[in-house]
Amino acid sequence: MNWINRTIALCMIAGSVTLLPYTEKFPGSAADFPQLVLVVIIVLSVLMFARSLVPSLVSINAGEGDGNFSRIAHPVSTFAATAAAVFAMRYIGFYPAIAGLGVLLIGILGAKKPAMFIGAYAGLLVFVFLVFQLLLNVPLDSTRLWGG
Amino acid sequence: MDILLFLASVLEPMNLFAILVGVVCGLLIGGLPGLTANLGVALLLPVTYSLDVTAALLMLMSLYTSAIYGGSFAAILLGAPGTSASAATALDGFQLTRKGEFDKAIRIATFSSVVGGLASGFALLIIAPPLSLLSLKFGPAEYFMLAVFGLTIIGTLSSGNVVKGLLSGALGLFISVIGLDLDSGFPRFAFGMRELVSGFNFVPVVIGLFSVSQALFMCENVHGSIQQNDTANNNKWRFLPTFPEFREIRTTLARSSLIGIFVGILPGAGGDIGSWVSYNEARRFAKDKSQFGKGAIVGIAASESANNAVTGSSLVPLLTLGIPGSATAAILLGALIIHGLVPGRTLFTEHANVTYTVIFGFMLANLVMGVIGMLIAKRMALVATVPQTFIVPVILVLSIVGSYSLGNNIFDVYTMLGFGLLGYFMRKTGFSPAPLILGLILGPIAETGFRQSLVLAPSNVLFYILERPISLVLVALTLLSILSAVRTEWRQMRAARDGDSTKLKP
Repeated sequence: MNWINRTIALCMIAGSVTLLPYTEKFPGSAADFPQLVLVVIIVLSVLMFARSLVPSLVSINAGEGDGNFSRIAHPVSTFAATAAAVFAMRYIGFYPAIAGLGVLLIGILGAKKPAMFIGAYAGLLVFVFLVFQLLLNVPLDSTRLWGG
Repeated sequence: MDILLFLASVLEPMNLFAILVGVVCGLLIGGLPGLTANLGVALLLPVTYSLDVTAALLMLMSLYTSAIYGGSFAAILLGAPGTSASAATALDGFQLTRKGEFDKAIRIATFSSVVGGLASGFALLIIAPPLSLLSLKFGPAEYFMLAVFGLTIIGTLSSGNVVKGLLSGALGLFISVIGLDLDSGFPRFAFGMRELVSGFNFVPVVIGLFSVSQALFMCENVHGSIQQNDTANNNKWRFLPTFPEFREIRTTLARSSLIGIFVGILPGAGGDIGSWVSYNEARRFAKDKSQFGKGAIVGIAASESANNAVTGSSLVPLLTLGIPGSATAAILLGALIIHGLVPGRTLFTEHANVTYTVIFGFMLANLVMGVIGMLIAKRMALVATVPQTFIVPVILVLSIVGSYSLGNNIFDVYTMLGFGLLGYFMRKTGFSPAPLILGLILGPIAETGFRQSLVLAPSNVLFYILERPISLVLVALTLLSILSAVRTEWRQMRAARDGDSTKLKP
């Protein structure tokens, strides 16, 4: 976990130091607050970095996933499939893309009862259609509005 | 005598129907991650055009308060808060659901929400004018310090790591400055991207950080269910807390309701801030702080009573001064004007019948909300036993649709996805997303206060802040909050070290 904290701290410092000169372009007092925030981020990141170097000051908090990155394959695959579906919406429309996402999720999540999964997923799409498209007039079926 | 007339007016069939429709719509909207109270009130506003002004306001206010309460359903069941005001509820509520004690979590949330809502109704009725005067005393320095105080609170909220909590909050502040500067019209940190000129929309960020990151976490164990213990079915379904539960939460209820009322009165500070401040205070006053985040009913009571206490009190400055205390109150201001009412003294004189009927109706709505909420919640308990394979797609699809429906803008969906991934990795590496959200909320308040203080300060801005009594009190509270958080973390580290060294001894 310590190497993660160090890496994050260094990235935050590098990012803030890179952005600080950029604020000089802001007119009038528009730069004051961003500069203050970036300086605060740098100070806190330095503290985090320094703390990771002193064993007695290392926090007991390791994060919700216990810093265990061995199980990120499923979450990352799920995220990639969702992002791909959102990207596809502009070309094939909302419903076909979301249906495609469902098919991908059967494989990624390893649904033990595919028929039940498909039924539940179809029910979800009907709910979305009734509530969002019919009741709230959200133009879900327009590929133009999705950027296509 | 007048009070009886107002009460009778509330019980008119049309007004009761308006309350019922508002409560049911609010519960549905609040319960769906991604749909907010603002969205609900805005969507229902056109529906109220044809209604009598009292029924229209009752419908909108009932929706507002029950949407805030409805947010606790998703927070407790899925760990994905239905509204941002319920984010603090998710910390302990979801843990109770995992232990198979969903019924306990939901009845505490319901009871607390009703108490908070009723308390704010009474505040609206009795102490509205004198309390609203306090918000008039808040100048730029006070608002800046209020925001700084809010940000230091998050240090103690981020699971025991002050630096990471503050860093997450500072990141939220930074994200809040992205986009057009309203004073100069200069697009800050937009890097030529047209979509970034208007900055990040708050709601997709919340959906991403809380809902999507939760769905991704569930993917780590897709064949498990939310409920890890199979004890829920053995529990007797109760509408009210048991006496020991009530005894445990009663002080928190009183304190959090008062905090919620106070926060609600301050313009710009909504249910999100109220619930987090109350949660932090409940934790600070608790004898056993270790239970927070692991299913402490006091945590749920604090968050839920405060966020519902905000709903009524945010109407105090709205009704008396025409200053909306929250985004939803701003939409309600529009509703008042559409229906021919002007906020101010006349609401309590010429239109007293409308105003007081609406206030009494608001209190009734809180009771109706509690009853309907508990009836719905019993059925919703089944969700906790459904395998996560089924829950993940529901969260993902509703997050996509919820983000898109805000402004029919694909960039909001990309924002939601980006912050979803960020939220997942933040949680994996020990950064709580909650401070980031709070930083995002407090950013505009802090910046406005800071810049105005710089202009108003005759010499040093620090002296300007310190010489004002209210901001001085806020400075003291800020220091106290930081020191208290550092001390707590130091003790936890020492306890953990002592434990380890004991194990090493032969």
